[in-house]
Amino acid sequence: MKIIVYDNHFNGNEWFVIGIVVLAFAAVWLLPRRFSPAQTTFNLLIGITFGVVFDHSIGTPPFDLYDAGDNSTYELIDLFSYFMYAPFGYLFIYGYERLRMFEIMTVVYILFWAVMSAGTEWLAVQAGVFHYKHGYQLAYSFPIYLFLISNRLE
Amino acid sequence: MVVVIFLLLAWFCIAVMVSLPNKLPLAANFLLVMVIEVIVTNKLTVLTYNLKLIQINTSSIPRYLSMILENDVFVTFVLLTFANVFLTASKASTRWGISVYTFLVQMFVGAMLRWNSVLIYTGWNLFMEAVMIIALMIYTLLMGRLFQRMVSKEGWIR
Repeated sequence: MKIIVYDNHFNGNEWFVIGIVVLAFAAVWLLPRRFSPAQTTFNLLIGITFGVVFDHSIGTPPFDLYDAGDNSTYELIDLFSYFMYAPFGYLFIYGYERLRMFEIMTVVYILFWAVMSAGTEWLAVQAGVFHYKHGYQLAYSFPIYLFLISNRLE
Repeated sequence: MVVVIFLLLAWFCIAVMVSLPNKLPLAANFLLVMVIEVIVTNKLTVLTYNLKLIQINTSSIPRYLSMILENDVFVTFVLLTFANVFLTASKASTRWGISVYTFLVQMFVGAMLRWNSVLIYTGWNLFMEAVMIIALMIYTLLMGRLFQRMVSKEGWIR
């Protein structure tokens, strides 16, 4: 597999990852505690797990639909970027419990978070965190987010 | 045919796990599955695409699916079974038995991946495979113990 180099400095894309991780975990830290340690761990881990499994399934050959980071290989910053997913999972479940979502509002809530996730991915692409390949587009990520977010509630 | 074999293996390891008489609390198992999945997925990516010690046969869809089944289902549930039995067993013989079973079954299935040209070892060997399996088992036990204690404090029994 040929290595594609998009960047070779510690710059915007790395700072974007660090910024999102710091801000999102700060939000998790500052919010009042609603969950037990096990539930908190679960809420944080589920985002990371889904992110890792999907990224390593469709982001690597034979699909190879996108790259993350400065080049097409797997680097330490790519591993660190998975921590971006953890707070999103936590905040999603936190908001669901806190706002006492029910029935049709659950659908709206899931759609909202899918849009938020796609929006964050768009920002990440602009910052150079992700690089689409082989015709992949942001629109393809939206149903994936819908599926993953819905699964979290199950 | 190769994907059928690995589907059967996946079914078998899930069936064994589900049939265990003594298991960790469900919450602990959920957490354990996630941390195992993260490590196992990263391990494969690093060994194949970074270190290039192993090559995945991506030219054949059944072989690729077999690799996915082995990595994401079989190894995960075998390690989960190992943690559940080891951490709930009172007898040393049971612990030894499950440890040997876990190690040997992963070595055997790893060999099956090679025999069926699902994975090609370009720089990897059996010794490295053995060390990696033992490292995964130790990691699984440590995380299992951590989650077992965490959930037991919250009153989770099963």
